[in-house]
Amino acid sequence: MTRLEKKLADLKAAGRKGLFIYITAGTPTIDESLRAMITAEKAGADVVEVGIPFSDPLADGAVIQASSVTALKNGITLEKILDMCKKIRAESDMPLIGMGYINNFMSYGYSGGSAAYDGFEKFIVDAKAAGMDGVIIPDVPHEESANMRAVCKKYEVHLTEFITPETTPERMKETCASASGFVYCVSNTGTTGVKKIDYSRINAKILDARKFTDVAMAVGFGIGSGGVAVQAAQNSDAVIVGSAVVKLLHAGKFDDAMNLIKEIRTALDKSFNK
Amino acid sequence: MNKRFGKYGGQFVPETVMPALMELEQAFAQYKNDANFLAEFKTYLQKYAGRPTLLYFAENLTKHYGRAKIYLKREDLLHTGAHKINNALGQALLAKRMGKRRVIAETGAGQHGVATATVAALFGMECKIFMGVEDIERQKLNVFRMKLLGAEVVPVTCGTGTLKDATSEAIRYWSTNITDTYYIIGSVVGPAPYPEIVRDFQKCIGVELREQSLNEFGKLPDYIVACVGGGSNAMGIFYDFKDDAAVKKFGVEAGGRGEDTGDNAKTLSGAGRPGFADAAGSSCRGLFSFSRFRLSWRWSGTFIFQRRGRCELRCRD
Repeated sequence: MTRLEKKLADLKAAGRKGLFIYITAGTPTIDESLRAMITAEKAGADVVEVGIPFSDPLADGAVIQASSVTALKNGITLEKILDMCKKIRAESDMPLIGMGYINNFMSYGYSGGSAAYDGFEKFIVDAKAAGMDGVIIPDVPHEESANMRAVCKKYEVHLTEFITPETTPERMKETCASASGFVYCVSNTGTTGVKKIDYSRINAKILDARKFTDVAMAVGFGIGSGGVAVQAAQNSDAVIVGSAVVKLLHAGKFDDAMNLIKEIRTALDKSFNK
Repeated sequence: MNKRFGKYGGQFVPETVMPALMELEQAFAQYKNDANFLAEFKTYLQKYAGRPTLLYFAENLTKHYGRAKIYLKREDLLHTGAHKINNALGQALLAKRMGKRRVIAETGAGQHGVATATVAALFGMECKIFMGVEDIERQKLNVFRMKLLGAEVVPVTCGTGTLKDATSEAIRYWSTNITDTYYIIGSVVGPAPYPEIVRDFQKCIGVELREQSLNEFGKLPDYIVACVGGGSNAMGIFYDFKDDAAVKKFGVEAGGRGEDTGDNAKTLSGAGRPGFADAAGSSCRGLFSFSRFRLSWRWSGTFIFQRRGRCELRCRD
C-alpha cells in the first residue's frame, strides 16, 4: 500500500473527507513555497499537490498562470522541485503528488539527440526516490497515456485519471479501469480558478464512476471556501483546492493562505465527521 | 481514425477538451468524403474565394535569374488576400454541419483571423479572435479588418502576449464553451484531427497546380518552393505531389538576423528535440520555454516544431 492509498484508507475509516492542497512550487519564492507545503499539512491538508510550473498551462486559469510565470522567473526547475520533495519527506509522511504538463517530464534530463522520449521514466525514477507518490498530467488524456501508465505502474507511482461532467459512460469505464490512487473529478468545463459552479453535475458522475472502480474520487476546480468545499464533497472522498490558496501565497499573504486551509478543513469536518 | 504521423501527432489536451475533439473527429469522418459537402465546399472556393488561382509566368524574375522558368501560384489573389480562406471556408462549413453557432480562432499576423472573421460573417456566425497584445499592436490594420467584419478581437496578455499564448487562450475558451463553439485552427498543428483537416482543406492548391502544369507545360514542375510558417500553405501545395519524387520540394523560412543568432524563423536543419507544442506530439523547445520554437517538416499532415529541426515528418497516407 502506498502512502497515498494508506492516507485515503485512513480518512475513509475515520469517515472524513480528504483535503488536497495544490501549491505552485517556486511562488512567491522557492523557500516560501516549500514552507507553505510543509505548513499546509499542519493547517489541515491531507495531500499536497506540488505544482510544477510550465510556460503554457492549458488547463489553468489566470491565478495559476501568473504564479507559474513568477516561479519560472525565480528559476524553478524539476531538479529543484525534487529537492523540495526530499526536504518535505525528511519531516513528513504526507502524500505528495506532482502536477505538471507533459513537456516538463519529457524534457527531464534531456542531454541531446532527437529521440529522447525516456525523460518521463527518468523523472519517475527520481521522483519516487525523492518521495513523490504520484503525478497528475492535465494535458495527457487517457488515450495518450498508455506508455506513461506502464512506467508508473513499474515504479509504483500513481498516474491520475480524469473524469468531467461531459465524460461519456464508455470512456468512464475505460479511464476508471486504469485508475490509480485517486480519480481527478473535474467539476466543470474550462480551466482552474475560483468561480460559481454547479457541483451536482460532477456529483452525479461520481456515482456512475463508482460502478467501475473502488479508487477514491477527488473533486477539483472552482473551490475557494469551506462552504463550496462541502458542496463539492457531497459524493466524493476528497476535494482539491488550488487557485484560492495560490492567489494568497503569490500575494505574500502566507498566514491568510493557511487560515483558508484551516477554514476548509473545519467546514469539511463539521459537515461530514461521523 | 489514425491520430499519428509516425511518432508525431496525437491528442495532448486536457480531459475537458476531449469530448469536443471526439465530436469533431466524428463529424470530419462523416463529411470528408461526403459528395454534397465537398460539392458545397468547392462551390464556395470557386464562387466566393476565387479559385482556381492563376499560375502566372514571372517573366522579369525569370530573366533576372536566367536559370529556370519561374511561375507564381497566385494565392494572394484570393478573397482576403491569402490561402487562409480555403481552410477557413472548409472548417466553417463543417462547423455549420455540426450545429455550432460560434467560431473562434487564434491569430498571429492576423491573416487567419481575417479569414475566420470573413467566413463567420458569410455564414452568420458569432466570431471571437484571440490575439496576443504584442501582435495586436503590430498588426493594427488586420485588427481593424476583423472588427469591421463583426468579430470580437480578444487581447491575450498572459505569457509573452504572442501567438502561442493566443493559441493557449483559444483552447481554454474552447474547453469552457465546447457545446456551442467550433475552434478553427489555421496551421497544420494542434491535436488530431486538426492537422489532417487543415491539410485536406488546403490540398486544393496542389491539385490545381498539377492540372495547370500539365495543361501549360505538358509535365509536372521540376521544383516547388513554398514558404513555411504554420505550414498550411506548404502542405497545401506539396501534398498532391507527395508521391512524385521527381518534383523537388523546398520549404523556405525567413532568415531574420542570421542563422546563428537564434533570431530567425529557420526550421529545416539541425537536430530536433522531442516535445509537445500546441497539443500535438512534435519536436520543440527547451524545458519551460516556448520562445524559440522553429518549425520543420519532411512530409505530410503535421508540421513539427523543433529547436534546431532536422526535417522529420511522416506521411502515413
